[in-house]
Amino acid sequence: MNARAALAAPWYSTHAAMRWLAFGVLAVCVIAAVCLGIFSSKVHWAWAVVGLYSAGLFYLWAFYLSSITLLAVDAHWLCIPGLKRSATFAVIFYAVLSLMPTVLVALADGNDIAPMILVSSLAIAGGLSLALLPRYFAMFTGVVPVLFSGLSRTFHLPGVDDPRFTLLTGAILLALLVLCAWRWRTVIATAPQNQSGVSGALVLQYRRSQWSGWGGMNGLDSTAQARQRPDWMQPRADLRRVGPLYPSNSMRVALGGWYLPLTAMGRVRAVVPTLAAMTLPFLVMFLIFSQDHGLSPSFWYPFLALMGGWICLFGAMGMTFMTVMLMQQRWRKPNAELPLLALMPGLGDAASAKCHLLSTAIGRPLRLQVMALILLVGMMIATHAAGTTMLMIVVGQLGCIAALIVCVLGIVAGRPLPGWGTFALMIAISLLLGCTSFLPSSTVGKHPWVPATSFVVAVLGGWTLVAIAMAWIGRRGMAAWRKRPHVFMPNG
Amino acid sequence: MNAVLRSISDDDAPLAVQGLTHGYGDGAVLNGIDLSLSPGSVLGLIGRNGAGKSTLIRAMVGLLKPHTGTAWVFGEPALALSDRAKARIAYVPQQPEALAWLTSQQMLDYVGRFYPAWDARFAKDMLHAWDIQPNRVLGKLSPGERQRVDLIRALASQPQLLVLDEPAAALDPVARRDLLREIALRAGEAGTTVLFSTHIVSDLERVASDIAFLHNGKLLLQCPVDDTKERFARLWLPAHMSAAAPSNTLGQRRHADGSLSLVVERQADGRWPEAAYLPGARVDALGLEDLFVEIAG
Repeated sequence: MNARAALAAPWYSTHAAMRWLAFGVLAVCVIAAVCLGIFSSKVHWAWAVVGLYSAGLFYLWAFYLSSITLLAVDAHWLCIPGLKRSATFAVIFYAVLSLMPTVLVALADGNDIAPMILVSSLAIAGGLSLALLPRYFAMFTGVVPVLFSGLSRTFHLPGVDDPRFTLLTGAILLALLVLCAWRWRTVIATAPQNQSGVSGALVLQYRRSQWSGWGGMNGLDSTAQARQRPDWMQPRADLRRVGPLYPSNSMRVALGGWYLPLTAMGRVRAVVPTLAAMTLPFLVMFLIFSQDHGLSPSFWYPFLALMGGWICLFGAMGMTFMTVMLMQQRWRKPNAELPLLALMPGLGDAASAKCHLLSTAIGRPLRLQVMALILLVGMMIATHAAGTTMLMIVVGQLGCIAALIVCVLGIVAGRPLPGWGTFALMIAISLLLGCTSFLPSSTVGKHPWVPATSFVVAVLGGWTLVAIAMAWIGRRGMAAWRKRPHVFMPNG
Repeated sequence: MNAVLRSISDDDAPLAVQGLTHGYGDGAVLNGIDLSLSPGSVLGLIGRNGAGKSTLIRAMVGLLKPHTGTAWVFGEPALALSDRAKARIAYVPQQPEALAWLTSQQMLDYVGRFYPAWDARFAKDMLHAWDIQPNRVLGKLSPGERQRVDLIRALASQPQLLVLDEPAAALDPVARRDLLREIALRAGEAGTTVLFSTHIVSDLERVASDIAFLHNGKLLLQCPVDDTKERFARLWLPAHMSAAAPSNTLGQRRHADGSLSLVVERQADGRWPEAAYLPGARVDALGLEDLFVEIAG
């Protein structure tokens, strides 16, 4: 057994960007935990430190140390049993190593040693489980804390002070360890090419190139998506109104993704997975809301206002991100749709093809975003929301619309933002919209909440900075747009 | 199919470029390329991996804007083609990946609506002949199958100019032979002009009427395939005669014993360079593959 090679395995099994991101998250958690440990005067300081450190551990195991599985998979299929044993050894070694800081903190605290170690163990097993489980489970990871919070109130689950806590966490840990062992064996023993679909383990995606660098933001390319989708989920294109007489529809077919005109059955098939994915978060919110308000007649209005507000608010943002990512992907490949469109007759001269493309690419998401804006404004007016609330909502929606326009213009004009630039813009918009996420629900009470002036100024100031950046992106995009002979040229 | 590389000024050349330069980052990929295809010719563009073949082809058909130089397709600027010119050209990229979300049948149906001379019967027959499942999504096909579908797409539009970038790279021997036969047939019977890039020399020998050799961003030679054996040879000079080596050669290699191998071209009067007639010098005939290896190796 080459222990050194096994211990270095996670380093070589992950792309640099993933690796450093995992280290970064762990480092932030550890620094926060250390600061808390030094400066906190509360009784439960050790629990806060362990909690923070465990959160970092969860991320580390989910996205970095779990990549040891890839070594085990290769070892299995290359028939190198020694290497496979080394991989198993590495998992156990890193698990024990990961628990050491928790043990030290628990010993320093002197109380709750076993529960603290159990919590960190849960983070390790949870992170590894997430990486080994089918990819679709990852969609629901975000709602797990809220779900747990809801369930703990419903079923009165024990807190850390309760003696039953050790029993409960021990049982969950045991279940997770059994799950990890079962998935570890399954993932290794199943040929990787048979695990490329959505039911394949998340960890198998880590070696794909799109997980590396900023290019990873564009997600899977269309060929990989088609391969991973089962046949019943493949889009059913409607080609009835396609051809030189329908340039816009023809462009939609060539752009694919959510632009693709679908048959009635195709639409149903496209909507069902989306609705299914939304069901769990919806149920969790329902659970939490019903506990706070009860199922009285006054429950439904605020609940639906909250859900509708969020769908409009974040739907518009998602629309921008999704469209930008799709367009970036289409304008990256020199061997896909672009050469076909560039040399296809019937789309008009370069100028009219440019206009058709831009109106097709922007028009559809723009219509939906404007609808979301109208709905939100309507809701604000109906609930007599404060002027500042209305202003923040409208500015947020207009920000999403502007981001969509300037980013798409830059891409088709040949001056797309670099990966880090797109990422930074997305983060900025997400944070600013996140600041207004509570506004839809705050308007439905008897006394609508008015945000503090300092808060409004800070958020609007943030939007002003983003607007300046977008004006610059739009200006360079427009200049490149005028110079580009035709739009069907790949970028880069 | 009597192809001759003609002067750039020909307006009727299906494809022509002049003074083409391009590069990525700081590296130059194309260095002042001049090339023209005469109607009905089959030009094989050969070069090593990374020689710039795909970049040259993409610049020639207007899929990228070169740093300098101009490309024309049927006399029109490649970057601003009219629908009329587009209807006469078909291009198949290397490892095509277009429209992964459509089935083969849908893709051909979609594209076919834009081409006035679309041969739907041919498309259907070829799908059947090449064992492509018409209702299978393109994204789920193998690279070879996908290349075949794209070749069918290109051929079914009945183009007058067919531009293929490494068309045989992902094909099995049977499909490769079918494709080469189809190219020869189109060029011979319909007068289709064909430009195809490859690094498989046997493909060139089978169908190309002309050859253009791209190396380090420059066209080192361009001539009819049949002329290469007559025009080029390997000149071997022993070590003590290496000073007599001609300066104007296509490639040269010094051996461990100090002797020198040079690729030389006949002069305008039909004679080899003077060094070839020195005592001890040896002139060896070169096949196309040997010529390629000697120059690029």
